[in-house]
Amino acid sequence: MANVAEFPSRQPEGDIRARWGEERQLLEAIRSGDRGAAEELVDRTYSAVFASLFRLCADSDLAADLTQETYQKAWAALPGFDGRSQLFTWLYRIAYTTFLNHIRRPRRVTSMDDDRVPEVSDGAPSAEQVLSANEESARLRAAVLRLPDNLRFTVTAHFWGGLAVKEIAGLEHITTVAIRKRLHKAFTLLESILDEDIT
Amino acid sequence: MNQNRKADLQRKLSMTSVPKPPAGLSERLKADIPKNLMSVERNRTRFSRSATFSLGIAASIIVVISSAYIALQVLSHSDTKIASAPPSMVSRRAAPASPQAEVTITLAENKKDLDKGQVSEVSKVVRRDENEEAFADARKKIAKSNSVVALESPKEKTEPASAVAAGAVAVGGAAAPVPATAEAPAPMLTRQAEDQVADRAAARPEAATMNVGRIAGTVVPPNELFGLSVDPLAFDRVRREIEQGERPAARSVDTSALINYFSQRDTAGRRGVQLDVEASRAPLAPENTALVRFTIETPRGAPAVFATGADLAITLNSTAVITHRLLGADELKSQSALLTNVSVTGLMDVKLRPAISPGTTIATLTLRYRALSDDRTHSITRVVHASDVERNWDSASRRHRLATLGAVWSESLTGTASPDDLARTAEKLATEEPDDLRARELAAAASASSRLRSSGPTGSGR
Repeated sequence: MANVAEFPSRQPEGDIRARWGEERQLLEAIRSGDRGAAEELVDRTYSAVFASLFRLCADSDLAADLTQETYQKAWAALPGFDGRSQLFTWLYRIAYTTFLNHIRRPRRVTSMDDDRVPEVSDGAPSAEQVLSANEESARLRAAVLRLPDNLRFTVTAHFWGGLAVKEIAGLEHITTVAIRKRLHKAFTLLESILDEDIT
Repeated sequence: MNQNRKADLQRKLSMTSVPKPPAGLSERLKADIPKNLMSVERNRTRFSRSATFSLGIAASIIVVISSAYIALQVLSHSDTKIASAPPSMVSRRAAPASPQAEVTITLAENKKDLDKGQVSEVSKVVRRDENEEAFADARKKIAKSNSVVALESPKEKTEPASAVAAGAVAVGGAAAPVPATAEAPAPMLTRQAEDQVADRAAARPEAATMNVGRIAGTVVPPNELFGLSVDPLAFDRVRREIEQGERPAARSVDTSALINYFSQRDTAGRRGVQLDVEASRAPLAPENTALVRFTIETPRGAPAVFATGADLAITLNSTAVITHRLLGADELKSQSALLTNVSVTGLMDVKLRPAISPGTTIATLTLRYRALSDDRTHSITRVVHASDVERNWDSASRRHRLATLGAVWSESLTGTASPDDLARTAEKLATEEPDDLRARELAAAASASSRLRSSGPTGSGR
């Protein structure tokens, strides 16, 4: 789908390596006060951050607000970023935490069963198909958000944030095998949650 | 889960459609970039320097503490040779005085089956060979180390008449003198219990040797005395949670520390170690429930070790007491070193048998310590009678009422006591003496916590 944001993990390995070096330069430039570099960082990453947040909250306006909040936090936290993970991975962690904080805020809880029709790009299939797909997607999203914390982060980071298993393992300070086990467990749980909903 | 279903789920998760970011989002984000990114970096550098400095200080402290610890270990090792007394050397307190050295240890026999006519805690005296030379050597070394340490001297133990004279009953104003000589056995100590303790001590010679032979090089923990928490910040923590509209979690309520917070009195100018004991009916509790309060205070003065080897033994009369419970702690512990300017209060909840005569002894509390000033063991004994316990809570001292009400409030937070009428009683206590800050704080906290939604018992506090 043309409008689906691209994620770093879906790029060829060589590109990632090249980009890794670029990122370090970018980071150094930002740290030395280069505003242009900071803007370039935004350009490179904001659509992916927005996409991952949209997948979490299914609300375009809210995702935009959370994206803005994510970057505000990122600028404040930039001095503490050690550069050991990719910039996007680091940004995704901030975005995810921002989303969690948002749904935990009193009186601003996002409905998990929100079945509003999200904005769909031009050229989408028929309205009925879209509604049906959206209903299913909303059910799936609600099921994912009902997973235990560690499983939820793993699933959303991998599928909605586009992070590679290795990257998630680095973030969580566990092995890639453990991440795969988590994913397996999450699928089993998701299946039972979805079956529960149907019955 | 079959592979098809898994693949289907993976596909659905991966194929979630995403709209384009709203127009202008990029500009909004760029506008949020701090104007001076350099300042962020400068802050980072400053923070880094500050962290390095803090780490340096922390490392220095660790080195100093480690050195002190190693020095004490070396000294302890030399003293272990002194403590190689065979189990047969364990003797009773009533044994005649001998020129050999004595060190007192407490064997906490925390027995709950008082119905069987046994005592709850018994103090025993363990005798060991004198090795004056080695001990004096150890003392010199410790003095050189300039650390706060407690030494249990192997010198012959004597109980001066001045210390004995301090053993007057202070409960409920009934000042009947009580002989508290070292030779006299504890009043409620039964022969059977004595035998049991002696047998156990003999069966565990290594344990006795370990306690006796060690030079107790203990820096007094600031937040715990005699095994009772005196953490001064405990009340603030609970208050903060209540002010935020939350019912404090049971594990965050430190009953012992709250008792100590509310029982603090300004007793400036006191001389010598004091053991203040008071008893009354428990506030807002069934008729046969009483609370016995004991407060140990050391003299005012420059911070220094005042006494060593302090030990409080509480002996309960099984013919009068059905059950007992130390509030906010599991058991009392010996205090290897007592500093000046300390005050610690404990409360014991006792359920009494019905229709006991007023003269019946309920409990005997004996505090023993070795004063550094005269290097002698002193003991203070207080006896609580049934008549003291019968006393109405309203007629108890202000300190006692604040401490006990604080305890009841604390227990109401942990779900083990009912908050009914607590707020009103606390308010009444505060109104009696408007200048009493602690009473006002208790009234405000009790009132606020009584308004919190009840979340049911969450477990017992400490």
